[in-house]
Formats: sequence, C-alpha cells, structure tokens
Amino acid sequence: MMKNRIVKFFAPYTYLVPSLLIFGIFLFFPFFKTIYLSLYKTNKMGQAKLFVGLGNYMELFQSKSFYNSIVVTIIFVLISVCVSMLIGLLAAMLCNKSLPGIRFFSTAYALPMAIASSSAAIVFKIMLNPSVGIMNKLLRLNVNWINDPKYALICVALLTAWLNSGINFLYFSAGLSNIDETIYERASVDGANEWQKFRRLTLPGLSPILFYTLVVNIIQAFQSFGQVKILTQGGPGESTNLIVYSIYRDAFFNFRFGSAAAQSVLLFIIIMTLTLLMFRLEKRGVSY
Amino acid sequence: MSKLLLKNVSKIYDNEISAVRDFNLEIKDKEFVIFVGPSGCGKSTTLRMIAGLEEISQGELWMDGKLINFIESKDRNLAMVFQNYALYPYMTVYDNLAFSLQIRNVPKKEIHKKVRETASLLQIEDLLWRKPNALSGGQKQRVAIGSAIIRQPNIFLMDEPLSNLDAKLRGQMRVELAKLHKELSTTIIYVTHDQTEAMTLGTKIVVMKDGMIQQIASPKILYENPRNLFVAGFIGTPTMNFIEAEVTTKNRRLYLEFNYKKIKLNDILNHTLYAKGYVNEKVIIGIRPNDIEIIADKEYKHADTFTIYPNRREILGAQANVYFDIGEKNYLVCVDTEDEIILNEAMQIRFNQEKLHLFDANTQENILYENKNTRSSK
Ligand SMILES: Nc1ncnc2c1ncn2[C@@H]1O[C@H](COP(=O)(O)OP(=O)(O)O)[C@@H](O)[C@H]1O
Ligand SMILES: [Mg+2]
Repeated sequence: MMKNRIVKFFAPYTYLVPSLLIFGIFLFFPFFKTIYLSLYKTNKMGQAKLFVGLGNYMELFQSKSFYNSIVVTIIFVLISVCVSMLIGLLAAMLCNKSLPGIRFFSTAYALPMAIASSSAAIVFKIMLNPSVGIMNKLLRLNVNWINDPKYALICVALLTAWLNSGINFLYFSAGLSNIDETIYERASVDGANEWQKFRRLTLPGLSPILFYTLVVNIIQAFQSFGQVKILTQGGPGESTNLIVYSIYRDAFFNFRFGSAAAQSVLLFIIIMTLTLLMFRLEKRGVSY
Repeated sequence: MSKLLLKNVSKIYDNEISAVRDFNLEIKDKEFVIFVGPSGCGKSTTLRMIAGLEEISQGELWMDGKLINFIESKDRNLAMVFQNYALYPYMTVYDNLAFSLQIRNVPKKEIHKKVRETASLLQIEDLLWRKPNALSGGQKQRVAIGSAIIRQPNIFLMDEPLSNLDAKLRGQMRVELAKLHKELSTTIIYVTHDQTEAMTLGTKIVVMKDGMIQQIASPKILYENPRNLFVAGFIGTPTMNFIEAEVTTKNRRLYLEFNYKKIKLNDILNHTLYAKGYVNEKVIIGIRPNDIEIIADKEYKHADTFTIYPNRREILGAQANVYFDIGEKNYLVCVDTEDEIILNEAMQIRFNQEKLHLFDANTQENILYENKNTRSSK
C-alpha cells in the first residue's frame, strides 16, 4: 500500500526529468548564475570576486547611460511593435481577399520570418548607405541614416518591425481565416461600411491573436540584438544602445560582468512585469 | 415595403456554372414570395443577387423604379436572414439585434426601446446578455430574425431560415413567420427547399429547377394545375404517381394504354387530346394518390377501371398508403384506414379523370395546362 502510494507520487516527476534536465542546464542554471553574478564584482574572466550586495544595481540607478538605454529601448519597442503589428495586420487583411496572384504576395509578406536579423541588417546597411544606398536615391535625399542620432533608432526599429511582421502576418492570416465569412455579408446587408466591419467584426474576432502577438512582439523587441550589433553598434553616441546591446557591451567589451548581470536581471523584471500586466488586462479586454 | 423587378437576370459563376438563367419576376409591395426548388437550383444565388452579395452577370434588377444592379449591398436597405444565421459571435444578443441601428448612429435610447420591443415580440428577452454560442438553434434563429426586423428595411430576404430546426419548432416558427408578415406588412422573399413549407407559407410561390423558373403561382394552382412534370412531382405530398402511356383510339374514343391495361377517357379529355393532336402519341399520366378511387365491388368492371394487386400498406392514422406495382414501377394510392384491403388480392381502381394530369412525354409540359386554367376560372 505504502509503496504503491510512493510510486504513484513520484511517477509523474520521473517523466518530467528529461525536460527538467534540459531546462535546468540551459535555463535555470544560467538564470540563477546571472542573479548570483549580479551581486558581485568580477574579474576579466567573469569570475565572481567581490561580493557587493546590491552595489551593482545602485551603480546602475545612478548611471545616466543606463537610463538612456532604458528610454531608447522603450522608444524602440513602441515603434517596432506598433509598426510590425500594423504591417502584419494590413498584409493579412489584403491577402485574405481572393485576388489573382495572392499567393505570391502571401509568400512575400511571410518572407521576413525566414531571414536572419543580422543578414537583414547587412542588406539594410547597404540600402541606407548615404552615398550608394537606394534609400537616398529613391527619396532624393542626402541623409546619413545610420550615423545620424535622429534617424538611427528609427531605422533600427523599422528594420525590426519588418523582420517581425512576417510571423505576425502568419498569425493574423490564421486568425482572419477563422472568422466566418458570412458575418461580413450580413454586416454588408445590415449597412455597415468597411471601417465599421473592421472595428466591430475583425478586431474582436482577432483580439485573442492580437493579444498573443502583442505579448510575443514586445518580448521579442526587448531582446533585439543582431540588427543593432550589425547596423549601429549602439551608436551614434548611445542613441541606439538598447538594453540587450548594452549588456553585451558591458560584459564583453568592458568586462563588467557584474553590472551586465544586474542589467539582465532588471530586463527580466521589466519583461516579466509587463507580461503579467498584459495578462491581467487581457482578462477584461479580450473576447473569445 | 418595396417593389422589386427582376428582368432576364442570369448568374454565371467563375467556374462557368450557370446558376440562374433568365429569371423574370415582379414582386409587389408587401408580398410574401417564396422561392422553392431542390438543392442547387439557384435559389440562394438569386437571393444573394437581390441582396447585392453576388454580382448580376446579365439582366436588370429594379427596386421602386430604380435600377440597382450596381448599388452596393449596404446601400440597398435590405435585411437578410442567412441560412447559418450569421450571428456576430463576439457580440451579445443585444448587440446583435442592435447592430444595424448602432452603425446608423440611432440614439442609444431609441435603440434600447427597439431592442426591447423586438425581443419581446420574439420572446428572447431573457437571452439579451448571452453570446450566440450559448443559444440553441431555435433561439439563434429568433435572434437572426429579430436583427432583421428591428429596422424597417425595404425588403426582407430569408434564406432557408428554418432548415436547421427540428420538425416541431419549424412548425411553430412557420406560424410565427406568417403572423410576423401580417404585423410587419412588408415585402418578404423567402427561400426554401421544402415544398411543404412553401405551400403553407406562401401566397406566391416561384418554383425553380436548374436555375430556371418553372412556374409562378399560388399553392392551390401549383397543386391543381402544375405547368410541367417537374412541378407536378415536386409539389404535394405524397408525390404524384407518373405512368408512361400511349393514347390509342377505337371507334373515335380515346384510351390510355399502359402495361396491357387500358382506360377509357372521359369526354373532356377525349376532346382535348384530339384537339391537341395527341392521338397515338406517348404521354405521361400524372395522378395524385388521393385522386385514385377504390371500387368496393370487386366484380365491378368498367372501361375506366383496372385491376391492381396491392403489395404493402402503411397506416398513417385516419389514412393509409397502399402500394401496388404496374410493370416494374411502384405506385401509391391513399385510402381510408377503415377500407378493407387484402394484400396481393385483385382489386379494382379508377383514376379520377377530373383530376388527371397528362404530360407530353417529350417536352414534359402539362398538356392540360391552359385547358384547366380556363376551367378553373369559370
Ligand atoms: N460561389 C460559387 N461559385 C461557383 N458556383 C457556385 C457558387 N455558389 C453556388 N454555386 C453553384 O450554383 C448553383 C446554385 O447554387 P445555390 O444558389 O446555392 O443553390 P440553392 O440555394 O438553390 O441550393 C449550384 O450548382 C452551386 O454549385
Ligand atoms: Mg441555398
């Protein structure tokens, strides 16, 4: 009897062992190691040497550079998330109509998904080149896109938006195809115009997916790295010094692993809080 | 509350399917018109062309003296009940009802009043705060009808609105719809594949087949004077018996001969068939199961009776169906349940020639069509 109960109690956990192991090695261990490191000053090899308690955090809160990277990150997230969701939604709504050649466009819109952020950044870099880039040629401007603090952040954000729009397009397309066609027909007969149909039928119908995509997009945007690394290296000045890039720079250029770890922990807290907040809001706003 | 005129309207879909052909119909104000026909005959297509949901390939559509072929659906001021109800899944019943008013920016107070009125008319007051997926079929259907009648549209379009309901509920809703038509006193176009529904509801029935109108008439005329074989077979339960026969002649009298049986025709039929030149031609006899008499006296033999051997009997209540074979085919006669029927024993029957239909074997047109029209109008 007793043995039976014990087996019954432990059996489920043994099934979980493989995944727990993988999570443990690649997720939990680095996670706790980061928290641990954030409480120390380290040597150049990244080994914890001197316990400083919350000292690293204190330094961060007094650092102008840190505040700058927070502000830059927020602007970046706002622009890239809004634009990528908008592109995805518009593309999905266009492709939801049955027009000739729509499959070609569908593929084209979904394509960014398949492109690595750093290779896209290289292409963008060439396109934005002030002397040979196609952007200036087309717009008949003479703007130094990447090296001008006014434009650099927007460029990186738009690149990110485009990169993320592919997967958004797929999500939204799936969401739209789940909406019953006949309710649009009924709405037409009822006298609704396109905007009313969009607001009263499409948006509510998409709301679960919109919410999900929003959460994923925000998390993804906070973690953008490759495009910054290739396109601007955080510059000019610190105008594109996103928090993840700043962590990278502190750790691997300045060898201040403690500070980098502390920033990582703060980033984690920010994303976590945002996500929880959104899930709280979702309970009220999303209709299934 | 509008007149509608369809002139030579046709619909050819992209895949070359010609769904509606040369459709001509005039619908008067406050008329209750029914499109009936088997599945796939183009009823929905016609309705959707009227609604503006489907482009009209050829022909003209006029509403109140205005050509509306190219007027957008939203500007035609119609209301439609869809076959699958098409309720807005994310809105409450209240908002479903109110939608068409809300998008017209009707004041909230007025909307509220209208929703209450409509809900009480259809007895769905208790459901106002539910979402459509928490409703039964009958309730959804009421909501769909409610959201159509909440406004005063020019015309109501209903596409098989009762087809998803069980038989009993369908019966109730039929009564309510007829009542509703009286109360709203507006034009209704109603689509169904169910001829019983058409017969019970309609004042003007449009029978369709393969995209073409077969006949437009009242239930009574459709039943008594169908224009062709299709209408005769489609309208009425139990369905009409059809027997292939030949018109033969003997001593200047005409007979119908089929399967070694021979019945003498009465004077009127005799005269008509002579006049129309059907002597020695092939025809199809149409006789409703109710229009066959059973001769009680088994010894009785006459020139217009013949012998059958009943092989099955179904008792339905006061009436019973008796089946018999002529040649390879199975036929039906309706009798009183009290009548004594002995299966597989010879029995005399007579076709009521007043109610006999004759169809041209080639064109399938009703040979007596006009003839009967004049007779009934006398
Ligand atoms: N969107 C469409 N594209 C091509 N063919 C269609 C379409 N809708 C209907 N049809 C065809 O048109 C004919 C009439 O259809 P429909 O009007 O729906 O018939 P009903 O409502 O009388 O059952 C059918 O043969 C059907 O297959
Ligand atoms: Mg149909």
